[in-house]
Amino acid sequence: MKNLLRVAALSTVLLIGGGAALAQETSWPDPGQSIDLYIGYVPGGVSDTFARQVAQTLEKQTGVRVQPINRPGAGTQLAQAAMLIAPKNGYSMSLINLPSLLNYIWTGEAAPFTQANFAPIALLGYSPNGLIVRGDSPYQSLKDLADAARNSATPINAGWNGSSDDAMVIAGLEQAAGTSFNKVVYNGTPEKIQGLASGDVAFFSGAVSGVRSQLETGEFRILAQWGPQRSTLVPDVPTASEQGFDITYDSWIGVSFSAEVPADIRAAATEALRKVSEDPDFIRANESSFIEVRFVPGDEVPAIWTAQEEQVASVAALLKQ
Amino acid sequence: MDILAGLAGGFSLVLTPEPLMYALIGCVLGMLTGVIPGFGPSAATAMLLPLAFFLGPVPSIIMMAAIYYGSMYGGTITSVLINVPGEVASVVTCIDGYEMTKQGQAGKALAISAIGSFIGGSVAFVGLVFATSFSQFAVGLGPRELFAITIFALALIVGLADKSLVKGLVGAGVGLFIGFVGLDPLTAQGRFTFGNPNLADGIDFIVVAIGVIGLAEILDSLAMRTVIDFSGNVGKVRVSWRDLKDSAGAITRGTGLGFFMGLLPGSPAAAATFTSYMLEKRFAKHPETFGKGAIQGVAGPETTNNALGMSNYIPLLALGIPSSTTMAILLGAFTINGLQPGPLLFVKSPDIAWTIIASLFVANVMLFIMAMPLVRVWTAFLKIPTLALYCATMGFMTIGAFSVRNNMIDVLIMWIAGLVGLAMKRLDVPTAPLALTLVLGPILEQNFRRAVAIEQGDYFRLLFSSTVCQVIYGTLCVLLLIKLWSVFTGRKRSSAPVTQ
Repeated sequence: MKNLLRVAALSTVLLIGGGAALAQETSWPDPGQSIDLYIGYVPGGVSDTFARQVAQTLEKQTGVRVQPINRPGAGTQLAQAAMLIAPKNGYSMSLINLPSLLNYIWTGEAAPFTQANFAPIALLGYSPNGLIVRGDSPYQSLKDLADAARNSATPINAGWNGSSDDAMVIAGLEQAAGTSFNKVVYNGTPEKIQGLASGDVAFFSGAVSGVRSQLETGEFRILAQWGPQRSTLVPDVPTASEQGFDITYDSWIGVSFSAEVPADIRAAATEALRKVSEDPDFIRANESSFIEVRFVPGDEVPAIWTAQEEQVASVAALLKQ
Repeated sequence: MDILAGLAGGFSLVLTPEPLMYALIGCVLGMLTGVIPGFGPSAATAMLLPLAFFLGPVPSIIMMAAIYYGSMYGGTITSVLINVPGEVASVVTCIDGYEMTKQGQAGKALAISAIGSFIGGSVAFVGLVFATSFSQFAVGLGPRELFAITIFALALIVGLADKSLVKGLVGAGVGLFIGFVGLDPLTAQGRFTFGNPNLADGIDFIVVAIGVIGLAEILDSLAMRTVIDFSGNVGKVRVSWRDLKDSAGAITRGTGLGFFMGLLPGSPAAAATFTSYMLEKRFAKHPETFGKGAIQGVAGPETTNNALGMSNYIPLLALGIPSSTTMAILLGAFTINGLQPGPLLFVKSPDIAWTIIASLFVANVMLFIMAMPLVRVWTAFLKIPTLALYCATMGFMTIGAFSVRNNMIDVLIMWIAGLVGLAMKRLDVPTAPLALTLVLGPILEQNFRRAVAIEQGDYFRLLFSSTVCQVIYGTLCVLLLIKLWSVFTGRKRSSAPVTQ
């Protein structure tokens, strides 16, 4: 009898234990695993710092190790490719920046991936972008700049990095001014800052977070921000549409899986990132570096993505003319 | 007086046990990571960036700054001992450093590097302290100045072609070609990438340098069965007064050159050290000893490297512009802690700013104190049986190449470069011009085309509108005229390989 009891007790324990183990296998994330977060930039930049904050907070929320992996190159293509070929078990994700990621629309060759390859988990950060000029610049508004461009004997120098973001701005301004700018190509914000500070270019378009200190000292000014509404981080800067210019785009930072990751894992990950976006430390850290924490769940991202694709494609067609 | 008071305050905060400990850990870690080929300062600081979340701003930045500084010296060690560049800036040190090792003077080469680094770092530190007066100057340095300095370096290239000018130029051509691989810097069209996204950003300089210089050396000695036995040949560490006197000019020029080059955007450390090497060869009393173990060929570039490492902070701290990858990572450490480098750092958190600046000097002193006795430890590695040393080195090279971008393609490229280097060795084509043009070619092209765009095609303004450019082109003309003069008068003071 005693033995029977013992066997019964043991099998109950085993059953419960086994059941728990089984349940754990389908739940995400498994504490024994670690999550790889691929970042398409070199360490230290705005997006990289954001990604590291996400990794740290996600680790805090889930108790699972989140390892940021920098795989810079080819406009984040290498990082996306690394995420897309990794096992589709929910332990590989990548940082996605919209509209920067849409650069694949420009490549004449077959794009390495399209929207269909991705299953966005969530967008988390909104980075206000704007048109930056020197503090002592003669331009006080987009209209001043457009007028000057129209009336100038030689084209005005504009800094740009050839990305979708910059292309939308320059194309919009050129259309409004009815003239073209002389584009000086820079790689990354530090180079653009140097070019503007030394007076080699008259303006550039970029993330406000990249020029915080220059804005505070008054060395640089923002003429316009590109969002549809004013960002809470730069409430005094008018939007382009307020100034009568049809240049509007949102700049998002988010996290994505491969499209082949099972739906239940995607839902669990979206929930985990929602908690990340509600973490007060996470919000504070990012607002101090001029990134608004705004949560958009994964299933709402494709609509944003598609709208931006159409916007970039029309600009690409315009610039090719 | 504000500056000195701030600095004194900074020192009083740094010279306490905890910051000193972080600086010490940083120096040691930096030196160790510098020893791993290819694993340079940016990889080392990137690895420690997560610490910035936990340690808070001052300790993490002190430690990362010390790592950066330590790895610059660490990179020298492998260049001298086994002809494998530990990081980008010490590629040129391989040329004469390894020759000195072959002659049993490894200890002397490492010691003079440490001395030069210390002097260069200390003088540049004084410049950094008074950075505010340089910062406006640094803002004006852009594509025109970088183009001028690259032209200056390329014009001295014949100095690297030892035996045959033609073969030297062949090497230079190969380097230029490799530098073309990747996306066009202006139009983003792929060039020689064969549609492979791994090649879109070009071929990394340090990966090729490790292969062509270090791996080729090992392959060659294995294939020829001429494995050198260093064990009985470690040599004395003592640096004599004569060595110091011989190196004094190199160290002085290296300090000035390094300080200036550190202010340039993108601060091309490898371009700076190569320029220093060729400049020393020009100024040398016995240029024929270069490539055969000339102490100036080690002292000059190594001083340049550490002076540049110090003045690199001026654009970051005074203007908030990171001038190199490592500085960008440091900027990340500031950002993570809610700090923003730039003029406001000195207004808002002056104690943090000055503590970091003071810690740079402390790291400089610490590195010097540590480096001298450690020279014996490093040279003791030469007592390892050479074959075992080669095996370990090849393992570290693989790790180093991988760590550049966490990408296996770089390991493959390193091995291909090793085979190319072996072929060049057999054909007696020097590899130094290849390394030089590989690092300078992309800088030259990008900055020339950018400058043309800025000046909207006005070449005269591009060349002569800035004072710095006028000085650089003027110096170059003087050097070339001296050269011509010596050719005409038949004194053959310089070493240009006119014959063969």
